[in-house]
Amino acid sequence: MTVFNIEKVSYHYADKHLGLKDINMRVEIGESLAILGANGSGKSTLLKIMAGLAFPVQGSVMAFGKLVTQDSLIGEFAGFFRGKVGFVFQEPDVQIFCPTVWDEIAFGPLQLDIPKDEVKQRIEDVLDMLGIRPLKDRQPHHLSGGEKKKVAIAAVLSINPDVLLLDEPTGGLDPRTQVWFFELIDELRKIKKTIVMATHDLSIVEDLADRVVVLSEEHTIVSDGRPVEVLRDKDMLLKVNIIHEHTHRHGDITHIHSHGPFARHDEHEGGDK
Amino acid sequence: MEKVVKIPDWLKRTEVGVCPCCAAGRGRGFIEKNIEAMASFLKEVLEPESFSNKRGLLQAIDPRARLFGALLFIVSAALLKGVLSITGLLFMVAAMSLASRINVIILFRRTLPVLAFTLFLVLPTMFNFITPGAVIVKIFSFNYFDLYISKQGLENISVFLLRVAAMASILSLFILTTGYPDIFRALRSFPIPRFFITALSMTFRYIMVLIKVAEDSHMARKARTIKSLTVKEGRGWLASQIWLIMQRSMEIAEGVSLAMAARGFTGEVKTMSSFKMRGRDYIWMGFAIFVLLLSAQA
Repeated sequence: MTVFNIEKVSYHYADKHLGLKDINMRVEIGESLAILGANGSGKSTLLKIMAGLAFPVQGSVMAFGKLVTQDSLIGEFAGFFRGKVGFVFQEPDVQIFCPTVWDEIAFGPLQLDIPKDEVKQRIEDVLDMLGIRPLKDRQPHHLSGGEKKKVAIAAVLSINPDVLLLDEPTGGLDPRTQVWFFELIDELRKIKKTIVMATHDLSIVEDLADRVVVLSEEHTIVSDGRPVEVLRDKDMLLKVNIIHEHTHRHGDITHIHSHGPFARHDEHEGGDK
Repeated sequence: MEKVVKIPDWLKRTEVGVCPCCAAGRGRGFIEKNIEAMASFLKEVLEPESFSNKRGLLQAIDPRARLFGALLFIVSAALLKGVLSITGLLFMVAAMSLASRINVIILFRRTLPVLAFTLFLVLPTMFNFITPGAVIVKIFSFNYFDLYISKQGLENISVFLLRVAAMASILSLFILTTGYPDIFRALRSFPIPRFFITALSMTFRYIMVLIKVAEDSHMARKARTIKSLTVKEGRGWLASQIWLIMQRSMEIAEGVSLAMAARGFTGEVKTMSSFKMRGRDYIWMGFAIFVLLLSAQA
């Protein structure tokens, strides 16, 4: 089943800057999709359009077989859509606005009119699942960056969405929290949640995604395929500014190689020896 | 492959050694002192969590009953007329503070700014040209005009200041023993529009974020400042900071609104209370009603 069907979508920001140009893509249920792109390529905007938080100036977005527009997200479809699609923002400070962690996790399910007993149960379960029970009475501004990110994810998981949209999910996480995040996404994939991640972190793509869509700095899709195939196209990745080449030194040996999936030391392209 | 980064010659120069000037470092400037003082004052006022977690009389009472009691005590303070009766109420607040394991000095230190501001406002009323009455201290005489502190004026000021002190200390005690998350939850039990409470709690939440922005940007400037700014430069920098914080708050507001919409918020705030009223909470509310009735009789 197709969850999102995006056809010929273009988007301009309020200042008329181009955000996205002629985007065509489908997201299937249970799929784990990574949207790759350099800073400013339109990844976050595409996620916001999928989440019904921004609306294209051209083209159409269908979600669960229904057209997503400003008008359709008022009334019955809004509740259905918000319950099905969870959005984890890049900046946790924006997302965590309640006085305590407990209130934050309760916020989403309460807005969707889930019975209060069930909301309580979900809060307890999510607190345990993400290992954040000690934080439950804490105020958000007392949390560290990693803790805020966990709370932001918990606040969305308590809604039990079928689709999770994650904007730069590993941004600002320390290595241990990144490993925790990898494991979490792996578990969510096993239970057939649809996951769409916007990232420029290539290290998470091969491990966590079934499919990769690459956005160029001209805001168009330049590649769409399996991670192994897409990440093999070094010229394309260099062109869209996702990888770069740099000088690397081992003792007295200096050579040039690329950052990203091509960061192998046998991939010498010259340099001083 | 051609190197992308070309280092200019001046950047290659290094002069390692001890600073010849032996400067001992400058003191903190006016802006820095003010930003720090403002941030620390707001943090102190807005983050009384350490007291709310103590095991004491008020902390053991349900926040809703605590809020109800605080409101009735404030009304009682407004109803009391005599110096003695208001002083009695102040002693009661001090006793509650001690029973809640809060040093009375901490409590009254929090009420001092309010008292100082009130005194500044009502000071002229102790003079005879506003409140005529018996002479206590004569300031000066000029032709037919006498300026003196009147007995009635002094009495009025004393009662007013004591009343303000009682009200402010009751409110401070409630805030110190409750903590902001519980205050907002308790407010939801009262007939106040929920949207208003949500807006209030979010304001509190983001004041802390914006304080951090102000502190960080000041630190960033300080880290790159060698000579002190002129008054004109200082003013310009302050204006740019105000604009930065304003812009940041607009960005946050937009982001928060989207984050709320993403989780199904449609304009009506739905919340859940996790409080449970017990016998002692009802006793406390009964005590507050008793004090109110007593004050109305006094």
